[in-house]
Amino acid sequence: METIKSGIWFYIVKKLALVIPVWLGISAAAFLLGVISPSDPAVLLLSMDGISTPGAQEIAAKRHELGLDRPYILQYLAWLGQVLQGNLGISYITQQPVLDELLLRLPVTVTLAGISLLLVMLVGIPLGVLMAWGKNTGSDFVLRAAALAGTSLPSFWLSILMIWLFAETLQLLPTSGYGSVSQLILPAITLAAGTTGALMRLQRATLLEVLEQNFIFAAKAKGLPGSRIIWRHGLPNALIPVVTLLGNYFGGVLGGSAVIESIYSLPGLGSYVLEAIRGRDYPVIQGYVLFTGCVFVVFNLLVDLVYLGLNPRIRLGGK
Amino acid sequence: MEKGRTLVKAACLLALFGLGLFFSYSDQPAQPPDPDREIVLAAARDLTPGSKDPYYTSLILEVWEPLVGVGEDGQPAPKLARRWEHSDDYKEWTFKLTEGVTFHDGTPFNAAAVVQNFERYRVISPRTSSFYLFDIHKIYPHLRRAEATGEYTVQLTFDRPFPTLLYSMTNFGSAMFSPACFDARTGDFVTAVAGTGPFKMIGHFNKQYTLLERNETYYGSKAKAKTIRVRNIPVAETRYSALKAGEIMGVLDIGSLTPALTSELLKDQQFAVATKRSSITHYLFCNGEKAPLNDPRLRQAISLMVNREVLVKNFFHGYAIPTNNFINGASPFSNVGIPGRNTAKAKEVARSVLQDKTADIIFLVPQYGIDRYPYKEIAEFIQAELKELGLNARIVVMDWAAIQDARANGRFDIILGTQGLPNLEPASLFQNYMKSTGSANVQYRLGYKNEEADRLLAELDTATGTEEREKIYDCLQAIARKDPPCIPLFDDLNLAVYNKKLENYQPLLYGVILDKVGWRQ
Repeated sequence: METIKSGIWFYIVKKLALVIPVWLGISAAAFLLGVISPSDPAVLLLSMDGISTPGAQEIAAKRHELGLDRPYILQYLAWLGQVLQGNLGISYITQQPVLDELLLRLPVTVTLAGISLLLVMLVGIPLGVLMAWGKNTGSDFVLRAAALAGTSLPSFWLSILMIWLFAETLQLLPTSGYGSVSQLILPAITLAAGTTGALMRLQRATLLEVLEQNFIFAAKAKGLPGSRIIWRHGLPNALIPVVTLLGNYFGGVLGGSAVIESIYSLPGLGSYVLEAIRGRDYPVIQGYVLFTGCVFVVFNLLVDLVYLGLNPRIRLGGK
Repeated sequence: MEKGRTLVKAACLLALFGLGLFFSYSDQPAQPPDPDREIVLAAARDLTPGSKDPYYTSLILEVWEPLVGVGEDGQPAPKLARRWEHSDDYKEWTFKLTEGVTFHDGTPFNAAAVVQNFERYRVISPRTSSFYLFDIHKIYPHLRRAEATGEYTVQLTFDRPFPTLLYSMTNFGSAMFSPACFDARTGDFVTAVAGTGPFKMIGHFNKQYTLLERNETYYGSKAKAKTIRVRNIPVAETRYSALKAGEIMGVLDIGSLTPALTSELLKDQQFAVATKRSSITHYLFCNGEKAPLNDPRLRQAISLMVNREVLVKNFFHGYAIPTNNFINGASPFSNVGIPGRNTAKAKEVARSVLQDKTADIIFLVPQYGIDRYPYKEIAEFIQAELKELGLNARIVVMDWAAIQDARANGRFDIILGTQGLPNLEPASLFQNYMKSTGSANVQYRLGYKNEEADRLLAELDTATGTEEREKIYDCLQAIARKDPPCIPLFDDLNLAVYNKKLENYQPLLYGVILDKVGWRQ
């Protein structure tokens, strides 16, 4: 028992230690992405009204004000120093602290991601099980086609279709905005569609693989009912790849729901960074990449910890 | 079994009851809407950028007002400044302020408040904004001082004559805010904006909406609507759907709805559109620093070749005004630009420049133009016309930042884009584009060099009379038609698309007359 406990702690400490170099790598990549992207933020800032045409002196003054005239390494070290003090800098465009803006928008994206994750799990896992259970039957074919459609439809197209059908034609749900649950239904479904399809297919495949294992045959030989075999013995063993997918999905949604947020007018992280990219707002882009990078690292860590619960072999270091 | 039957009966009864309710509701005669019911409109961007912006909210929300506005004739008109006079040499301007006005926070509007606002202008300059960059040195060049010479009299003194001051200070150029709502040291707003306008801002949710309420103590005619919510819906297709679903009653601001979506929406009898010329012009910006477009004759050939009428009719659905005049028609100093198309002459000129050869060129199209206008179709149409001149254009779509980079490095031949009028005074536009050392000329690599234009622009610096300046502007526009610094295509129209449940939804140069909008009774 003691050996198992110390093994778990060693595993957690090892994973946490790995986070530090990953985090440093992310911060360097975040900074580099900003400075190597084409265009000069000073010019964009001075001409953001679409009317002003700044002169060379004005551009030079703005570059100096933003600290863009310093060597890259000094810019990076200054930024890193700020970050270590919990300061992600000030947005060039809004002039507001980046961390404040990220935290202001985080609840929107987390709520959207949470609801869509719930949808993915509640729909994807049972349907995946159903597909495996009725392998090569009519329901399996129909659900496989549905899963394929879910993964194939581009989210922007699906968004427009959903708005047209449920908001414009049937007038059952609002087209856009944030503030009520009804406003999150369409974006959550759109966001969940692709991953639900992928999850259904993955769940089906992994469960079918598990159902071919000897312990399942043993269970069948003992006369256990089919549903008990699947839910009690088959599913838990088929969940590890599914958990990996869900962990990556949640991290991905936090970082990649920009198009959905824009179409449905949700003031989340995605739409914020989209604007920042257009305006080459380096502090925001860097802060966002760092932030979402950290989210990915944390989620991967959580997924690894869930593995500990699901697969005892990991607890014992593979012994 | 018995229990199941009872349940079915109950469900049937409920359904009948629901149907009864539905039909009794449907049979109700249509009631006129409550005049005080909230009106929801939408814009593509958040019209309230907040405390760091020079203006906090856009002018079109009518929360704050300028000293000098724009009249229906497009000329400067009294707003918070009731009247004005100037010295003979145009160095001293005296403004008589409207009396009996208070800001929304109760602070009285008087000469002291105006002077404090001018002090703020100095502190914040230059301050960027998505509306208009504010720079006191550009709007009030050579301003020596702003002083109160009476409780309701303010005097502006300049080191150099400034005869067209009024054109420069219209709208965003002379925004007035309560001195209590900004920090005198930084110029940032420390509370929500307090202006003098017919609407008070009572709520704002970042990137979601701004909530306005009628100012019941407004000194002029009170606003018709009690509350207006202006939502931020960035995607045009979503704004279209929100209009169709009845969630919003109208759209406003730049790029309110694309011409194609507007035409589509108007097929539904519930909707209407009102238009007014906007201050935005669409141009072809040529790289004048490298062959082949460094030859002004080839630029003129393109201008003669492009069929602006077809572009406007087919791709803008008629919602634009073809022009070959450099200055947007909204400026009172603009000349009428009638595009004279002459394909034979264009081809002849191009042949002589290219010496019967063809040239490969890069034609950049900004992504914003595809989101907001039919730029892709327009670019393809122009590409076909350029081919007839012997120019093989390769269209490249990029985001605006990447285009700025390509422009700075000279990796382009033509860019399709827009330029807005900074204010009614076009001097800065002429200086920027037509002067050999003008900022746009240099930064955008226009390579424009016209000695006559340089001479006239030097004269403009010392021209004191409005008539004298007007003559110079006329000459510059005539030069630009023959030797264009960039090729004008058409002036944009401000499209105010709305549901007919509203009345008086009338567009301005920019925005709509919000205080006149109300429910149709």
